[in-house]
Amino acid sequence: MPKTGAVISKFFKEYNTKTPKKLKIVDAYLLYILLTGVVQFAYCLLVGTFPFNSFLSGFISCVSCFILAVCLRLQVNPENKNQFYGISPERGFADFIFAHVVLHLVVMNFIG
Amino acid sequence: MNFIIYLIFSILSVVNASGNTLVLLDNQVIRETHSIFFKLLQDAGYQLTFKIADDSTLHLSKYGEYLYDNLIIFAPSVEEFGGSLNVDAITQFIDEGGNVFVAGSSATGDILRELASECGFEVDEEGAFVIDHLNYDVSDNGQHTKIVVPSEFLIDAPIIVGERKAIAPLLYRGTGILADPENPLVLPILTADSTAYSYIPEQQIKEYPHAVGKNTVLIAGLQARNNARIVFSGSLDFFSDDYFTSSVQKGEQGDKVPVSGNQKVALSIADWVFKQRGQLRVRSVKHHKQGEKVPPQAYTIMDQIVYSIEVDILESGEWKPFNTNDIQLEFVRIDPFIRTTLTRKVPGKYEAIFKIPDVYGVYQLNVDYDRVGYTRLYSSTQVSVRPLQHTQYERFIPSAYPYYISAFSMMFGVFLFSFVFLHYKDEPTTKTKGD
Amino acid sequence: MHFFQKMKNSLIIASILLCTQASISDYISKADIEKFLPAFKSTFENFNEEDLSNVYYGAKGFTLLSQPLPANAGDACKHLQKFFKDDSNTEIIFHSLASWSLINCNKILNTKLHKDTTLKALKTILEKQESTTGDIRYALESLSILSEPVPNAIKIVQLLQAQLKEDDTLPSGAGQFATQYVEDVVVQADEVDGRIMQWEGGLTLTSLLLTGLLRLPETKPLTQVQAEKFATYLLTRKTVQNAKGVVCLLEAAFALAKSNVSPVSITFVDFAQNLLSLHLHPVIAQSATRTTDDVVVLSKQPLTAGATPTEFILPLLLDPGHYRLDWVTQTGTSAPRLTKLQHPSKLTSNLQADSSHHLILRFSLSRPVQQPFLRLSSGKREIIFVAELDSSKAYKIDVNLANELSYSAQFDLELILGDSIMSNPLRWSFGSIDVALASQELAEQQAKRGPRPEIVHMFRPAEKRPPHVVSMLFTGLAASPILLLLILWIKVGINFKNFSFAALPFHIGLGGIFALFICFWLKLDMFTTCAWLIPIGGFTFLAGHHILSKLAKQKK
Repeated sequence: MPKTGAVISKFFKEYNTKTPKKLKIVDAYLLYILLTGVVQFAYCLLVGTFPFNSFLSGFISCVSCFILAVCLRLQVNPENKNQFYGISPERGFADFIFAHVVLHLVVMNFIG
Repeated sequence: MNFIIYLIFSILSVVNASGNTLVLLDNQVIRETHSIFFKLLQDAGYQLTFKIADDSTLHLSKYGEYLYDNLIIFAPSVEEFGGSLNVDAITQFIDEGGNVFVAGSSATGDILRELASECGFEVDEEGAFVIDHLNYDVSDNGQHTKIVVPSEFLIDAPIIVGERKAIAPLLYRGTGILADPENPLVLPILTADSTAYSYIPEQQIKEYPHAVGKNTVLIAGLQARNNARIVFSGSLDFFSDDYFTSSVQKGEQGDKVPVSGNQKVALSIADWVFKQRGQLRVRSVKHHKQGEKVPPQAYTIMDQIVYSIEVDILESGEWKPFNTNDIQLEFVRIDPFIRTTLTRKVPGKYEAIFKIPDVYGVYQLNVDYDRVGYTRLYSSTQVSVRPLQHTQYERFIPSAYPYYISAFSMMFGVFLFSFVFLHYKDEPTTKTKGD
Repeated sequence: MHFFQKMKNSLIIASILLCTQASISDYISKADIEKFLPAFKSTFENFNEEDLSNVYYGAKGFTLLSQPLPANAGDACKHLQKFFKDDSNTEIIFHSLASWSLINCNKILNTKLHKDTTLKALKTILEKQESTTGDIRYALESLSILSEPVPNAIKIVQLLQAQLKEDDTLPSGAGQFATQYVEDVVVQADEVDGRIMQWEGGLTLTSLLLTGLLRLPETKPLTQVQAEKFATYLLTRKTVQNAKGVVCLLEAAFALAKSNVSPVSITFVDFAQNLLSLHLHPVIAQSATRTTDDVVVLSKQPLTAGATPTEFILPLLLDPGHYRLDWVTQTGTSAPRLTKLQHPSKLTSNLQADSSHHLILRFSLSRPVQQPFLRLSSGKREIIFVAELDSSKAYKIDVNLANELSYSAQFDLELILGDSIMSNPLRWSFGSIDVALASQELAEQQAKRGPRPEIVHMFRPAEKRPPHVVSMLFTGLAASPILLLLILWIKVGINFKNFSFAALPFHIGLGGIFALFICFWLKLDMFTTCAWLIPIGGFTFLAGHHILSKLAKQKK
């Protein structure tokens, strides 16, 4: 028990100090998406899957946004520069936006 | 010009309305002793052709077409039909829609017995009479074979025998018929009382009689599945001038009725057998969505559909609207999903409005009307029912609001994020370098 | 109980009928004659200008029956006068002249119907070679009605013989002149069913031939048996409807009754008081009497004359009869319990039985009957059993209930006794029996053809939805992370230092796309959305490309 407590507090301390602000912005965004998804899931468990397409649409929207934001964070993180050789962060952002446009078109169609 | 065409059509319709009837007799005496009956038929429009039953020039059809619509056989003791006529030919005649009216007697020959068994009736042996010691007419010869049958022993079907209450008691003298109770097509038109039985008179009863009590059928009828009609009467005397005009008195103490009901019943049965009564047809069938006039190519589930059918009945040679209360409509896809009774607002026109089930598929709108004494009315219309189009589902459901909100919130989040992300500038710090 | 009281009477009758050879069982009674009168009356009411013969038949009918003519006979005369023509068919001339004389129109109208030209025409017919036998006959009869002499009788006979040689069909041979053809004519009659004889051609021809044959002097054209058969044929035609037919029937009947082969018919008249009365009727009710003291009766007693000339009486002795019934239900092997019953009482309580029981019925009668039936009935269904005579000359029925009955119910018991020589048949309902069978066959009637039960489709029930409140609550919850996001961002510390107005088009474009998507959700369809997406998206792409390259350059 104390071990995990120490690990967690160290993790948080490291995070706060070492992470660049830009990434923290992205992380906040990610947390927001996560919470929205959890709320939807909890709602569905509670009342049932009645308009199943709406549930799927909303939930998948959250999940996909989360994934896209994670990809963006990976691409923008300066420590990963070597892995994305030839793709600038701006390019990553452009892809991010493009994917979002497609995603939201599909979500709007499926949500009913 | 129009007048000529009208004239031709009226002549043609007259020709079609008259039933060509072949009457087979044992001998010419029968034609005279039953003259009232034949005259009534002729007055009613039937064209009678009289022939002796074993005349060698008899034939029912020529060049593949039937010459007659109806066949009357008043020849109980015939042993073999003449010409091209035999039991097979008559059975085939029935299969092709011809109607047959047979009268037997205690001297019924084997060939008529064979014909009767083809139709589902069993006629008692030669020499047997229907005997009723409690219900015989006062003019009986002592063997109690001339029996009085009150009209309540007629079948309860006014379309065949007319209104039972208005019919005087009937006189009957002849053999007994057994009808198979399992056969759904057989109609016992006239049955005897519980005290009647069919046996050879003056003989002690050694074995169980052929027909006993209420099972004894005196006049039996059958409507085949192709709507051909057959009537088999066990008594030729039932139709004789003597019985038509005779008074009826049950025993010495009974009330005397001035005229028997034989004539009325005979004419009703004849009209029924020769399809002048109780013949139905469908005039038109319409269906459409409620609010529209023309049927769509395919209905959608849970649509309101309006179905209407017009039914006619042949009365006095003319087709008139048929009025009843119990025609039912079935909406069938292998099994019936819906069965409703059609309502009648206009004479002869029946309508039903109902909601199509929420199961899609290919359905049939079936009207199957089968009642005692009427021809079978069957009409089937096929419709297809498709499921909801993807644009026909319910939208903006309140219980899905959380999902809608989260989807919009995602979109809004992206919008904000792009703002924030694009315009964020890392402050130049000494230690951390964010690129 | 007096049972079979009249039985002996009936036996006597039966034997009388069997013993006498005269065995036609019907006659023309007063009631029948009354039925003929309307046909005659109608000829006087409906005058048809083409049919003067009808009047003849009506008048002749009334005359034959010795009935008075109707009051409007004068109208008939006027009708005849109006339409009589010399050049009509000889038959019509004959009928008109005959009617005139029968109705006595000479007296009523005080004139004659015929003229000299008529007489001349008639005589001409009798001389022509081409006249048919029918014409000759009618001409001769007309002349005899008018009491005119017949010219040249020998020539007429020669003409007739010539005609008959050429044409030997029955109608032309009919009439009073076919002397040498009698046997041939009789042979041509048809026998039907062994009891009727007639000539093919119906009542008119048969009657014509009969009257003709029987008028022939000194010959016996028919045997007794043949006469009876012809009489039976005539009696079957008693119900003929038209005047002409009735007249033919009456003429033939009268001819037969008067002849020496007149058939005899016997009917039973009176039951009362131990007296046996018989009526003997020749074919038509007549005043002619016949003595019959050789009628065979069981006790060989002669009949004495009774009230009317045709009635005969025989006193008889009678034995009363009586009977008694025994009822029994028997359980298996144990001794049967008898319940005695006397007619017409009923069982005081219902019998009880189950599938192991037998129902036994024993009764004795003073003589055997043809119909000893036991009837069990329940509602509309009935089962009938026949009783058998056992060694002690009593009747017995033993019903094995389990085998014979197929369902349990309360059955009413009835005894039916009948016979043709029994004058008081019996239908005695004497009680009920409750039968409880082990195996139950559902006594269901096959449903008569009628409306079938209605079917209403059960739609799939709608899904259960949560109450509005819950949905709203979660809607709020789902919206709240946005706030959290903003708070977090502020906490992290965001700045807009890189903001430049050049970025605005991109944001506008992006916002426009999302607005388009919201419109798509609200009302548009995919096609229009995509159509709109192309320009807006293209614009956004260009703007985004612009700002991003600017940012990338800035970084460098």
